[in-house]
Amino acid sequence: MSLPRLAEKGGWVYLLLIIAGLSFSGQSLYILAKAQLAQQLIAQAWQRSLQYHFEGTEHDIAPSSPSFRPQRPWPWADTWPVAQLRYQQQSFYVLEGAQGESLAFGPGRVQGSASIGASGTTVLGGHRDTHFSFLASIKLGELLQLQDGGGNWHRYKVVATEVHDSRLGDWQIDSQRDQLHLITCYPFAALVPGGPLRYVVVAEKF
Amino acid sequence: MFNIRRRDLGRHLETLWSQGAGWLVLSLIALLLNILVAAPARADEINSGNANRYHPEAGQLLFVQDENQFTNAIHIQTSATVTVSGLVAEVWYQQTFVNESDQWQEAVYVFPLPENAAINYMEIQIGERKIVGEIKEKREAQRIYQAAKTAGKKAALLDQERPNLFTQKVANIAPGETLAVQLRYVEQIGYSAGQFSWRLPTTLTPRYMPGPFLAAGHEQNSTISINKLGWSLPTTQVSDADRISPFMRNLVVPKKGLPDNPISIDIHLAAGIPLAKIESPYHQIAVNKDSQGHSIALAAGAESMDRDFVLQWRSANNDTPAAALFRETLDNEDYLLLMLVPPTQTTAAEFKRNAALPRDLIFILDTSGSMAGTSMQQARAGLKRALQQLGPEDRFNIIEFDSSYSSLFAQLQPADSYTVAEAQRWVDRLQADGGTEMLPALDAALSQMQNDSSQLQQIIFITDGAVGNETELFARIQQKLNNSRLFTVGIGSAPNSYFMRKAAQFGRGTFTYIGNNHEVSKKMDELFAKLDSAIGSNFHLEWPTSAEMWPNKIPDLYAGEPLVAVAKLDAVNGVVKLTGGFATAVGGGDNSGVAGGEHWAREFNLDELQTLPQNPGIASLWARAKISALEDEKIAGRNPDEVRREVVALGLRHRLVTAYTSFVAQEKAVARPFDNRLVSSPVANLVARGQQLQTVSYPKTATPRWLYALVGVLCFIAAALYRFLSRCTLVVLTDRT
Repeated sequence: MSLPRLAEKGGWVYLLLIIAGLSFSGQSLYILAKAQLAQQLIAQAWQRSLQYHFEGTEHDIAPSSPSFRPQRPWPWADTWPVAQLRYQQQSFYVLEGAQGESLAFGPGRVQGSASIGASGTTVLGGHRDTHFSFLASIKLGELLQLQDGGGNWHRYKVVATEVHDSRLGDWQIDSQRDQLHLITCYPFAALVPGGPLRYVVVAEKF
Repeated sequence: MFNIRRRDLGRHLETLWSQGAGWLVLSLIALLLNILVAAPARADEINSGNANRYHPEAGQLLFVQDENQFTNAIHIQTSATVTVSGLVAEVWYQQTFVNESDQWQEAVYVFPLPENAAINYMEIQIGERKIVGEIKEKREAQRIYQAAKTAGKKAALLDQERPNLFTQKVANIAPGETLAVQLRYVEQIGYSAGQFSWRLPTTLTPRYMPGPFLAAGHEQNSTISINKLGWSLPTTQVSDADRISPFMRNLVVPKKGLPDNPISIDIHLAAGIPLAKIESPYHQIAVNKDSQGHSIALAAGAESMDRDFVLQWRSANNDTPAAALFRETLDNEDYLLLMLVPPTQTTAAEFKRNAALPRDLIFILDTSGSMAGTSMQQARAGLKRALQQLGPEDRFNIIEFDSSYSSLFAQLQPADSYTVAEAQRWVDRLQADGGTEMLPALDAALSQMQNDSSQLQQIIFITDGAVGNETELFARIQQKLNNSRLFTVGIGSAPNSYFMRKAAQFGRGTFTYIGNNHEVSKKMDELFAKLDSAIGSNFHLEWPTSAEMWPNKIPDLYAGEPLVAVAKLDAVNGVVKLTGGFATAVGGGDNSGVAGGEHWAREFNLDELQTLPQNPGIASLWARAKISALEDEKIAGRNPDEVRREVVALGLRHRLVTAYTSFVAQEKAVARPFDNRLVSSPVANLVARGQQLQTVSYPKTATPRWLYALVGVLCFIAAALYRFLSRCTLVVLTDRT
């Protein structure tokens, strides 16, 4: 059905509503598609990183530099995968930085927190309605696994879940404990983004 | 026909839509679009930090999420008015809470006070009105406070979390209101090597909580509450971790007006003797001499609470007072504070002989994350200074610890130029990060000391004491110390003074503070002077009447340290006889074998005290000393319930805040209207100067995915509805024609 005909059939208002409906639904699907498809590309970049680590050392230009070679998932990306997070059967590829756009593609390591696998507390942020929606049902004592750039797996056990009000100040972490914090927005069912509450899953290394 | 009808329909619809429904739908869409466009803009605004937040054009979007406004809902100003008379300081400590939000607030403030402070008064000040607090058993006090809070009455509660850490809660502060809580405490003035000192902690170093987390209270199915009090979770070794880990924040330097978290300190110093050299090592002070003594205030009027305040003074001419007695009569009972400076062995020959005694020295160095920053520099410098003092007959080792410990050598090594140089290099490489697992390091040090050694066995523990499991550590020191002596060196702007003092007490050593880089050499030299000289021991006090004295056994004293005891007497007359001797703490059991071989005796006539003026606060000090001794007995293994009963009785009788008794005050009238909500806000402490606070800003972790989906669906529904309505109109129109 052509546009004029559609308009003729129901009037311009009707046409406008249909277009708006399509574009909003489209955007909604686009967010989901971006989140899931990007993960595929990031997964490949992650594999390349690991490959460089295991095979590329002899060709390394600066052998003294850390053997982790960040790989961009697509040429114009401003971030790169730094870890693989595994929960039950699901895998997520974690990006460097949790600011702005990068969270649309995957969970991000919050800058200022410990790097993956290092001693101290690593904080990952993720969207409550895409990658980190699984946090809504995570249980105490469950296992989270994190793979660092050297291919090593670190195991964490969920020890607490808490809700914090971000208006009360920044998230304070204990640099003296080896932990993994997963942060997402709360409540999970809220519609409008930008609320002040955060859900924090605290997992301890073991 | 159709055309006409069609045209009619168009006309009718036009009027219909122009009159309302159409605009309604369109404006709804416009509104939703606005929200969607606004949401990311708002997020950007917040991400971009404080700098952009006050741009007027951005202002209108910020009303929901002005983080600053929420963070500092409650502002706090502190003032301390101190009167020092002789050896007792009476401190009026006022906390003024200013509610800058537009909601009713409950302020929750976890703050430090000196570990030997006897808090014996609390009141709420609302304008000119005063509500005096009552001392109650902790649970009862909490119940009263909770009831008053819920009922909308103004109320305040003061709980002890640790002997040097307290929680002040103030409920129902009206929007825009200023409300003050006034505390009073008394404490003994410190005295060592001719120098008097008074210390006021102002903030804390976040403590490490060892042990796995306690799951209890955090079950998945329990109602999710917003954690507002502390950022650390309870662990098996520190079950109250959440209560002793208040939120911290970095200092904000305002362009004008009061400093961030300001404190003002006014001291009236009536030492009773001519004074010389009144100084404050970490603050600028203004000193004025008047007829009754000296008045001292901060030169700037107010300073930020990011480092401990210390005031030091000496008697003029350096003539150290040999003895001082202070007295208070309360409820027909006499309380006596006694300070004696034992005679020192000053002959050079004697001193050299002791200094020449070979020793085993183990340094334990805290390299945990809380030491990062200037603390680590001070610790390194202190340790290197100490290494220079070692002689070739001495043996030494260094143990550093964070989450785990490592030892420089496998066992004690002679301190020759080679090993010392290696130690220096090793110390230079140490970095501060990781946890504070003190217990294994302490065990390692204690086990490296050989019991049969004929050397002096000394452990120097360099740390900020930022741990939550103090009691466990004290118990271990007591059990395993044997012939060793443990000396604590407190590092940083806000060390845990309770840990320093008690660990040294259980370790039969002394404590030293190093607050900045300039003090390192002086303080380490002072410490080594103590290590080198003979110690006073075998003290015995003989009272003329029955007396209850705390501490009930006088500990050994290092050079320059006074003997301080508080006693409750039946009558103040007769003669007190004190005897003592010297020892060198050579191995082989306690100091019954007095190596120095010198004995001495002193007598004091209490009759003279009858005419002296009363010195209020001594009774509180006596009760505080007894409570402290009871807590020590608990650590040594006495039944906790028994200790608890005794402490409660003492706390209630002497109106003291203890681990089991709290002050609570409540207004009679209801202040908060029933339909107004009460918001609970923590009052954050400032990060201690020179330390690094590890925080991360919250990521923005939601997409408008479901919102878009919902709006999309709504649009489709609206479209369908529109078609349905237009059909209806069509039908109606058709019927008419």
